[in-house]
Amino acid sequence: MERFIRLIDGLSEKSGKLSAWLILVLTLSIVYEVVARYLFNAPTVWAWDLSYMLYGAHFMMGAAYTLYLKGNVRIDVFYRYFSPKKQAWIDLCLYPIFFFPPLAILFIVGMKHLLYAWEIGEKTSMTVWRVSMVPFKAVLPLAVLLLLLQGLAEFIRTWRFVSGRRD
Amino acid sequence: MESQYLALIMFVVLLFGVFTGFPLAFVLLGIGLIFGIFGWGTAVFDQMASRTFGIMANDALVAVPLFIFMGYMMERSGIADGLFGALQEALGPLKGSLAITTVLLGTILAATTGVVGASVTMMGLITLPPMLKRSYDIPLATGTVLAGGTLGILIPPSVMLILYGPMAGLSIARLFAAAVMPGLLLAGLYMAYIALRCYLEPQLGPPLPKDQRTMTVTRLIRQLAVSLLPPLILILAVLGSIFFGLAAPTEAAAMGGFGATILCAAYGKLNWESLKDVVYSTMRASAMILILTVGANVFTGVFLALGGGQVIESLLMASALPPTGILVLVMILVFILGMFLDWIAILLILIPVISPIIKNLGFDPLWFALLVCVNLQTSYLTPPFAYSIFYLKGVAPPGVEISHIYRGVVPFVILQIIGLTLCIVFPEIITWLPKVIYD
Repeated sequence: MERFIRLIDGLSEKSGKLSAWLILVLTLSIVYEVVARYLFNAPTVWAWDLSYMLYGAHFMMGAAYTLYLKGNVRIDVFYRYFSPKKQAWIDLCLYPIFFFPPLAILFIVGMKHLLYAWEIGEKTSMTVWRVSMVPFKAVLPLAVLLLLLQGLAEFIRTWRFVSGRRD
Repeated sequence: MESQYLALIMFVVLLFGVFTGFPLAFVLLGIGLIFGIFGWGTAVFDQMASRTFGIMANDALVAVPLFIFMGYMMERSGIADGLFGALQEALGPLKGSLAITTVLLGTILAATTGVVGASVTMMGLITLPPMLKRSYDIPLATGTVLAGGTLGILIPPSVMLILYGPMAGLSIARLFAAAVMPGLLLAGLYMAYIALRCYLEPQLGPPLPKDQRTMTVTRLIRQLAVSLLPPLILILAVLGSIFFGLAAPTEAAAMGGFGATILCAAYGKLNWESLKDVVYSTMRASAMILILTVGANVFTGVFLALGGGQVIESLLMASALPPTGILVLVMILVFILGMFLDWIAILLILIPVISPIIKNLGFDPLWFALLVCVNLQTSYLTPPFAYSIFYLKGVAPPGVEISHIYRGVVPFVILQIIGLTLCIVFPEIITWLPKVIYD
């Protein structure tokens, strides 16, 4: 079990740190567009679509890593004064209500949308750059799957803590 | 009507859910799902995915990670140290000079970053030790650092305003323009207060002794030029190109981040380690904010579709107050929420619900937006629960107690309330600059 948890932690960390670098790709692609437009009067057709795709992938792929780092906003007015054991119990009770159901549904629907985009060969439609939407549509289910796995790891970790098996 | 009861229950469940301390993004997502199923059955599943996808493909929010990147890069360039050194010499003879310098530093840094946690920590590290060494009054010193550091969420570029724009259908460029004067007003109020306090009670903040002001005038000017001009030019270029319509906020943000990277390299601070640190910090801050945005977007979508907006509206109308009275009521509500909740939470949950109501009452949405944002500044400072206070305690030297900090923020919270009142009484403070630029 410990190996499973460590495997998931590693997966979240690697995927999060890898997609973190997308910020540089995003910055440079927009800088390229601005320079091309103003200095060479040759705007790109791809910059606008690419920018939101990179941005969307950047933060969504960081979701699992953020959970691993305990980086999500908690309103801990009361929570911070509870004992670690009590905090663990709160988390154990709430993961099955607030975490697993909505994310499982997001994963399933995200997969459905991905398969649909794949079947009809969906392309971007707002600009003349008609590129396949499939990679971007794949980000949502993939990121949510990683997040679900990390949630499972956190849940098991908390469960082991409550039942007295410290990591 | 039945669905409106559902909305009311949803609101109560939210209040409970928020205070469990479970990560807020998932509390919002979960409650949205549960009540969505009550309202529309499984049809809500597709809604939830589309709303999530909508945030992922939102072209206005692209500016959020870009400005965060720029802020961290500026922080890494180390301009704050040089700037503080030069400013403290320049203002040395004034009573309370170090505290005034701190506010000035906060104002300038605010214009280079849009995230506050980082700048309070950084300002605490740079400005608190020298103030304590010169035996400044500890509450005054800590209050100054906090008030100066939190200017970052208001003075553009500001992540708060970027998040606000798409929610209320307002242009981010106009929001930025409208935030300039209120931001400077608050900075001015802080400095005037410090100067007056220290003039009346010099032992609170003694001037810099003459023998410690060692820089020659030419060196001082050079140091000011080296540390102040490059960031100032960068920030004027970023904001200027937005205000004059040369670039979309997203483009200006990317150019700003690129410029900050060059600046960092020019100051000799760019290397593999610092780049990695900036990239990972940007990821953490962006994911934290934007995943919460996804949760809030799902929640408010369901809440509004259930008629929650009308419920809140009829509750406000039941107060039988005139429109101005309702406005003040909303402001008091935001202030009180700010004592307990993070500004992002207040913004993301409250604004989609309340801004249509305010529009119906005939108020200028841009003006109202800035009132909310000035008000939300207080959420960083108001006990019992204020992030900045915890950030600062984390970096403060020994001898600084949390009670010092609590006492220190009180006058600055009062100054913020005065600032907010001025913005309500004289709307021109907010509306003047956007009018000059855009009309």
